[in-house]
Amino acid sequence: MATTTYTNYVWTEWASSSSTCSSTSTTSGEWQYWNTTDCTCSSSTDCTWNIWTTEDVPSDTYYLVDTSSRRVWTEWVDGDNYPSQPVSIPPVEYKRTGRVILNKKPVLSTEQIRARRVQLEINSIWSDLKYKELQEEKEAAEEVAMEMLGDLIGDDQLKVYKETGRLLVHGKTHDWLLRKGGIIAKVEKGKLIDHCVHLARQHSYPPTDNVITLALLLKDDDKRVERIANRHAMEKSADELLKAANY
Amino acid sequence: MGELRVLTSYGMEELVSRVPKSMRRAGDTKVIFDPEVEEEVDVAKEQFENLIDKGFTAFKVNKKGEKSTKVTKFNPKEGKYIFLPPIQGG
Repeated sequence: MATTTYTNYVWTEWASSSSTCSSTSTTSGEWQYWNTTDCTCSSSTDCTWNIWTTEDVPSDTYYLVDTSSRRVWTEWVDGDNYPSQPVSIPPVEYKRTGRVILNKKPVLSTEQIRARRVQLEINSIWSDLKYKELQEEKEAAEEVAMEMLGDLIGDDQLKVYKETGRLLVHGKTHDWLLRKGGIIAKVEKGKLIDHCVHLARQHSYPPTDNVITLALLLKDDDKRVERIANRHAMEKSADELLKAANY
Repeated sequence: MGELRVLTSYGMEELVSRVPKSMRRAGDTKVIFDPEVEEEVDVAKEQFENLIDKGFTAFKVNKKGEKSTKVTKFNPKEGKYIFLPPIQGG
């Protein structure tokens, strides 16, 4: 048997089979599947091994057998308890049985799987906390926006707006119905004609900021806003106007 | 006291650069200035022009419920302004 020492290889998987471990190979590289079933197990612990040799097998007791058959071996340690380990590689048999599989997906060890689960759980808790924090910030910002709207339309109308989420703005050429968090509508001949216009990056603002902005701009020059807006084909009855705050 | 109130989106609070971080708040950032103090008026004027350059529209805010008017020039005596971010068709 040839004697070769491989250092710091990554041994990704072990596979059980009926093959013996007496074959040899001097090929370097990553070996994904190993046959270990017939080897006598000297240890079933999850040790790591840095150095491999393909020395003559002193005895079967030096084979490390993984009874769980698949596991990721990232390192090999040549220690007192586990001297240089003989490794047997039967490449011909792999080809014959088609066991050389180009599977790049690493198989994780129990420890890695456990660590990953813990990490995922931490990520999930962190995301929940972050979401809650952002939600609170958004609610606080909406409160501020409501106060500002109150400064514009007065407390009575703000009360109606809080109840209905709608604000009727009297522009120079038309009346406009603004809906909190929704598209706006032009009032024309007793019908509501939907128009889509909003703040750029509107979802980064509290919904009432959108209402404040459109209310002020419509009041100042509704023709200009109409030019920017996209008109929707749908026309609706003006029932919504019955309950809306006025500006 | 004069006041510039800027509608600010989340994560854009730094838009009003010279406002202390503790005073910035998503949704509404305020710059309060004393029209009698020249230094404060200068800061407010700089902010005003900076925001107009960035595409914001300024409105002078009157008493509650009264119509606000669009302005393009800063006048410290006018008191309170609201700055609206740009809009777009949806």
